[in-house]
Amino acid sequence: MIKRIKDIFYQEDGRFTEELRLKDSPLSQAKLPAAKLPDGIHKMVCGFCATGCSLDVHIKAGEAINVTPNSAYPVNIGEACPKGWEALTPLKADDRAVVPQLRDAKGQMKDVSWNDGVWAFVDNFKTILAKYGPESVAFLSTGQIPTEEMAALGVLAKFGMGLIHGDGNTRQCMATAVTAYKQSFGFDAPPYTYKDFEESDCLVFVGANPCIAHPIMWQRVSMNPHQPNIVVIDPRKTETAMAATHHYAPRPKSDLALFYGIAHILIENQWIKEDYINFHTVGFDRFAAHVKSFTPEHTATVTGLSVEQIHEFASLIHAGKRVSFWWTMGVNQSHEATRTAQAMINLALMTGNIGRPGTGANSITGQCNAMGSRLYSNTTNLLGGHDFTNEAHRRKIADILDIDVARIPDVNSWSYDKIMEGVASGKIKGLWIIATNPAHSWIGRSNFKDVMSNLEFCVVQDMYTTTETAQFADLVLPAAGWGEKEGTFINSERRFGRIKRAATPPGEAKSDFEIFKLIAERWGCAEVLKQWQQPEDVFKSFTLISRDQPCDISGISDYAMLEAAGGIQWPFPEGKKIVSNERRLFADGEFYHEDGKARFLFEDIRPKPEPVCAEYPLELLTGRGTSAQWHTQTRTGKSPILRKMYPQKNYVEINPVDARKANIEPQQMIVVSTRRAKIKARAVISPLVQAGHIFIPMHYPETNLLTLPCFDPYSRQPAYKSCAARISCHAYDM
Amino acid sequence: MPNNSCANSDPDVRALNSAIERFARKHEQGFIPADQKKYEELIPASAPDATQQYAFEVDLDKCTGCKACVTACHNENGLDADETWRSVGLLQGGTSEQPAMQHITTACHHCAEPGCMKGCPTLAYKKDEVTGIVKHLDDQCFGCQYCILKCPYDVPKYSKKRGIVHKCDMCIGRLTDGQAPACVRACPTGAIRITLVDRVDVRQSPRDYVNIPDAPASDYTFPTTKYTSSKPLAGNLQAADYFVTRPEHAHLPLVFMLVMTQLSVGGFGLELFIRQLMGLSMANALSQTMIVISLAIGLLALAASILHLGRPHLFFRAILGVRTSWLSREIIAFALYAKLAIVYALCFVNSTALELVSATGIDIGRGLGAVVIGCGLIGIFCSVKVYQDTRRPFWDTPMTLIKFFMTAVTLGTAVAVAVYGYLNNTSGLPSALDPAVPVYLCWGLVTASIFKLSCEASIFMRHDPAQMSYTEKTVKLMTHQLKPFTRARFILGGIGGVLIPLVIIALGSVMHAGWLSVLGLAALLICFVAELAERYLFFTAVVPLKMPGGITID
Repeated sequence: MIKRIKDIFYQEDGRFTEELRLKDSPLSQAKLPAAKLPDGIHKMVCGFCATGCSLDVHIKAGEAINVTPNSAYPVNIGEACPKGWEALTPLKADDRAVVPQLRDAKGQMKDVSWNDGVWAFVDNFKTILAKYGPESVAFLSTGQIPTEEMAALGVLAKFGMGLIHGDGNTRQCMATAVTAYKQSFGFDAPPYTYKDFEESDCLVFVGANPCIAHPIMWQRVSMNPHQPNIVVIDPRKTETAMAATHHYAPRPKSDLALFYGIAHILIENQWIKEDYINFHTVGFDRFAAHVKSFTPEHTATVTGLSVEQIHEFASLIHAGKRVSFWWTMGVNQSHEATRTAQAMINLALMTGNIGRPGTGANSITGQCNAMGSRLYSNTTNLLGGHDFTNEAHRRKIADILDIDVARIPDVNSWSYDKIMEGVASGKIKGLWIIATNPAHSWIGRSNFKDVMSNLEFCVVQDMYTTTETAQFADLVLPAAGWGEKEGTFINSERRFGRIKRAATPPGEAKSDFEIFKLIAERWGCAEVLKQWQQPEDVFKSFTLISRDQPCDISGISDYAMLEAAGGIQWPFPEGKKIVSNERRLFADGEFYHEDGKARFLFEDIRPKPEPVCAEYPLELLTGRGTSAQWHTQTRTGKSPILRKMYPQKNYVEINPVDARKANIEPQQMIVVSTRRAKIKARAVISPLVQAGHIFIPMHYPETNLLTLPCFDPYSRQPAYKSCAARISCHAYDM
Repeated sequence: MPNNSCANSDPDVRALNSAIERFARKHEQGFIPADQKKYEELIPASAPDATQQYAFEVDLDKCTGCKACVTACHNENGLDADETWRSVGLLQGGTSEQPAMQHITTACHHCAEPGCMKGCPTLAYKKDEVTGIVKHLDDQCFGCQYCILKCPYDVPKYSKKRGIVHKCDMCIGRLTDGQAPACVRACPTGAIRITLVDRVDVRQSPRDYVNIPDAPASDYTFPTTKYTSSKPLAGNLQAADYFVTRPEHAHLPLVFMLVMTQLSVGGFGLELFIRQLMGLSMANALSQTMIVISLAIGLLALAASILHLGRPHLFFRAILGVRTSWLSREIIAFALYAKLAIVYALCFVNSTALELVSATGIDIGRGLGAVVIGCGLIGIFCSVKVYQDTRRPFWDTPMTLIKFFMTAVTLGTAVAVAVYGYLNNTSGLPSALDPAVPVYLCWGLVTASIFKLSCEASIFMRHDPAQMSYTEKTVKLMTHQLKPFTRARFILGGIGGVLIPLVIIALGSVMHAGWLSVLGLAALLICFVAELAERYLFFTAVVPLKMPGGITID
C-alpha cells in the first residue's frame, strides 16, 4: 500500500522497465528482453551478400522475431553487418507482393488468382514463342535465390519451355571473375578460404572496400595476427584505404597498366618463383615479353602514381611470404576487366602466391548466391559448370534428370546485354524477370522505358510490387523471400550453406520453387522437374551433376550433413572426410586445364571508352554507399533502422577543387550530366574523391541514367565504374 | 524522498557485486556462450571501485563504419521498429593530398554531470553510485522530453507510443552477468569496449573524453567515453553533416504555452500599472476585462503545457526535480501563479471573494497583484533558464531573456489597447481614465515592438556566411527552410505592433469608436500571431548540440 502511494510520485520499476529488462535466454547468446525470448532458433545463412554469414533466426510462438549472428559458424564467428541484423524487417514490409497481379485491357494492374496468373503466363509466352520462335522469350535471373531454385528455373525455362536465352544479374557483378578464372585456371574456381585473410602477411585489395561492402570479411582481416601490410588500390580514399598500411590511388581504369608495371619490376629483379612457373603454368615467357615495355616510368605516366610508389608496391609483394590479392567490382566492372583480373592472377602465379595459406588471386563475390548462379543457373553454363555445346555434357545432364537430351539446347545463351539489345531490336518479345531490378540497375538505362515498351509480355517475379522493374510488368508473381523458403546458397569461398523457412510468406506468395513447379505443370512440361518435388531433391541432383567436375560435391549426402558441418566448401567428392572446415584450392599446383597448368593471359591496354574532355571534364565513379545499403534498395529501403544509416536521397561527392571551380557549395542541389542524361543531386564536397573525379553511390535510381553502356569483351560485364561527366550549379542546365 | 543516486535499490546493481562470482559459477556449469572468451577481453574483469565508473572506449583505428553496433543494440535490447540508441557519424577532411575520414560510433556517454539528469523534472534519471551508468527510470518519466533538449549528445529518444523517453543503459543487465553490451559484442573488429575510468579524471580532464572534432565541449556534462587512436586525427576533419540544416521539432504546445503565459503575466502587469497610474479602483471595467482575459489565457497556457507531456496524468511529478531542474522550477512558479491569479481575479469580479480575501488583511489591489505578477515574472525567468540551460547557442543568450520578457510587455500592452478600444466603443470606460491613455499605450506598444523586432533581427547582422557556425545555421534555416515563418513574424510584428498603433496615435482622436475597437483588437490578434511565429522559430531554428552525423541528404 505504502509502495503504491510512493509509486504515484516516484516509480522506479513498472511495466515500461519490465518491458526492456534483460532476462536469461537459454537459447541465444545473450540475455534478452522478455518479448524477445525465443522458443526456437533456425540457423541459416544470410540473404544479402556472398560473405555467407550464418544467422540465428529467433522464433517465438511460430513467428520469426529476431536475428542474431551465429557464433559457431566458421564464416562470421558471431558477427554480422547491419543488413544481416535487420534481415527480417524487409519481409514484413507492407508493399510485399501478396497475390498475382495482371494488367487488364485498360492497363491497370488487377489482383488475380494464381490459376489465372499462371494461365496468363503460359498463354502469353506460348503465343509469342509460336509467333516469333524460341529466341523471342528470355529470362533474367538473379544471384539472390537459392541454388535449387536457380536450377529449377534454368531447367524449366531451357529444357521445359524451350527458351534459348536467359542470363542472371550476376552478369552485372561476377561475370568477369568467372571468365578470368575459367580462362586462367580452366574452371570458375575462386581458390581461397576466409582463413586466408588471417594468414596473409600482405593483402592487396583492388577496387574493393570490404570495410563497408563486406564488413565480416574485414573482421577476418582484423583477426590477422601477422601485422600484415595492407595495400589498397582505389582512386578514392575509402574506409578500407584509410585502414590500409599503403593506399595507391591510380587513375581510374589504369590498374591493368599498374599490374603489368608491377610484373615488369618483379621480373626485372628476379623476384619470381621460376620453379612454380615452370611446373604449373603456361605462357610466362610471352607474358614477360609483353610487360617489357611497362617500365616504372611508363607505368607512372599511365597510372598517375609516382615511380617510387610503384617500386614500393612491387617490393611489398616481393617481401611478403604469403601475399594475397583480393578484388571486387572496381576490377570486375571495367572495359578490360577480365584482363585486369588475370593480371592479378598472373602476379600470384609468378610469385608462387597461390595454393598456400594466406595467398591467392581472390575474387570476392557480391550477391549471396552469385556463386550458386555461376554453377547451377543453367544460363552461361549448363548445370554444374558444364558446357551446352558439349554433347557428352548434355547427355550426362539428360541422364541424371531423366529427360530427352534433345530438350537441352546445344547453343549458348545471349548474355544480359545481348538480351537487352534483343528487347531493344524487337527480337525478344517476352521477358521474365526474377528477383532482380534492371529498371534501376541496368547500365546507361536512360532509354530503358522505350526498350521495355517493345515487349509484348513482361513477367516480374518478386517479393515486392513496388520495384522499379515491377512497374513495367504485365504480370507480377508474388514470391517468398529469404527466410520464407528452403534451399542453399554458395558463398564467396565456395561454401554451401542452408537457408530455411522460418517465416510464413505473406498472403498467397509462394516460394520461387513452387512457382516454377506450378508453371511447369501448366506449361505441360512437368516431366523436366519430375525428380524435384522439393528443394532438397534438387540438391541431391547437384551431388550427381557435379561428380567429376572441379565443383564435385558427391560427398555431401543431404542438407543435414551440410548443416552439421557448418557449411561445406566445394569440392567435396565422395569418400572425403571433413578434416578442416577452411579449405583452399590448388595446394598441389594442379589447375583444371587438361594439362593441369594455369595460363598467363594478357593483352594490350585499351583506351577508356569515354575519356574526359573539355565538355565532360570529370570522371564519374560509382559504387557502394554504405554498409546499410544493398544494390537497388528494394530490401534495405524497407528497414527504418537501415534507413537511418544512409543518406535518403542521391548525392554526388566532389573534390573541393572542382567544387570551387564550379562555384558549388556544400549541400547545394546541382546538375550532373553525361552524354546520356542529366540528373539532380546534392553536392557533398570532400577530398576523399580526387580532383577531376566525382562519385555517386549506385543505390539511387538516378545513377544508372548517367553510366555508359560499355562491356568487357570477354565477360560481357558492364563497366559501371567510369565515364565522362560534368557538373553545374545552375538549375537551368537541367 | 527519492534520491537520484540510490544505487542499491536496483536489482541489476545489487547483482553486480556478485557478478564475478556468478560468472565463474556459470562458467563451471557451462552456461557461458562459446564465444564469450572473445568478449571477456572487452569488458573489465572487476566491478568499478569507489573512485571509478564504467565507460565506453572506442578504438577509432578499428572502427570502419560498418554500423553493426547500431543494429545489434536495436535487436538485442528489443527497441521499437525505428528506435536506435547508438549511431555512427562520419568525419571527413584532410587535404587533397592527404584525404582522411573517420567514422565515430556514439551512444550515451554516461556523463559525470548528466545534463539529462539535472534537467529532469521528475527525477527519472539516476547516476548509479556503483557503476556510474546514467539510468533512465522509464516508469518515472512523464514524457516532457526536456532531457532531449538538455543532452548535448542527442542521446535520449522519445517513444511516442509510450509517452516516455528511452535511452542506453550500457546493457547494465548484461554487464552484471559478465556479458558484454550488445554493441561491444557486435563490433566485428572489437572497436568498442567497456573500461573503468577515474571519476576525478573525468572532471579534471574533460578534454580527454569525447575529444572529437565537431562534438560539443566536454566541460558541460563531463562525458566519460574515450576515443583513442594510434595516430592523431587529421587537423581539419569536419562532421559529414556539418553543412546540413534541418528544422527542429516545433513543440507547438510549448510555443503556445510560452507566448500565452507571457501574455498573461504582461496583462496582469499592465493592468496594475494603468490602475496605479490612473489611481483607479479595482472595480472598473478596464481592469476587470484585462484581468479576466489575462487569467483565461494564462490557464489555457498551462493546459497547453500539460498537453505537451507524454503521460499528462502524472503532471504532479514535475515538482520533484526542483533542486536542479529549471523546468521543475518553471512549472512550480506557474502553478503557484495560476492559483494566486485565480484568487486575485475573483476579487475583481466577485465581491464575496473580495471580502473574504480582504478579511485576511492582505492589500489585494496592490499587494496580491504584486505577488501574482512577481510569481509570473519568476515563471518567465524560469522559462528563460529552461532554454538557456540547454547551452544551445541560439537559446543560451540574453536574447532569450529579452524575447520572453518583451513578449510579456508587448502582448500585455496590446491587451490593454484592445480592451481600451472595446470599452471605448461600448462606453464602458472608467470615467477617471485620462483620454491620452490609448496614445501612451500605443507609443508603448510601438516602442516595445520596435525594440523586440530589432533585437530579433540582430541575428541577421551578426552572422558570417564564410563560417557555418551555429548562428549561421540558424540564420540559414530562418532564411531558407523557415522563410515563410520568418517573413510572417516580422511583417505581422510590424503591422500589429507598429503600424496599427501608429494609425491609432495619428487618427484615434478623430476615429469612429467602432473602428478604434476593431483596430485595437486587430493589433492584439496580429501581435499574438506574430509572437507565436517568433516562438515557432525559436524552437525550429535552433541548432542542437550533437555528435558528428553521417552524410545527410533529405
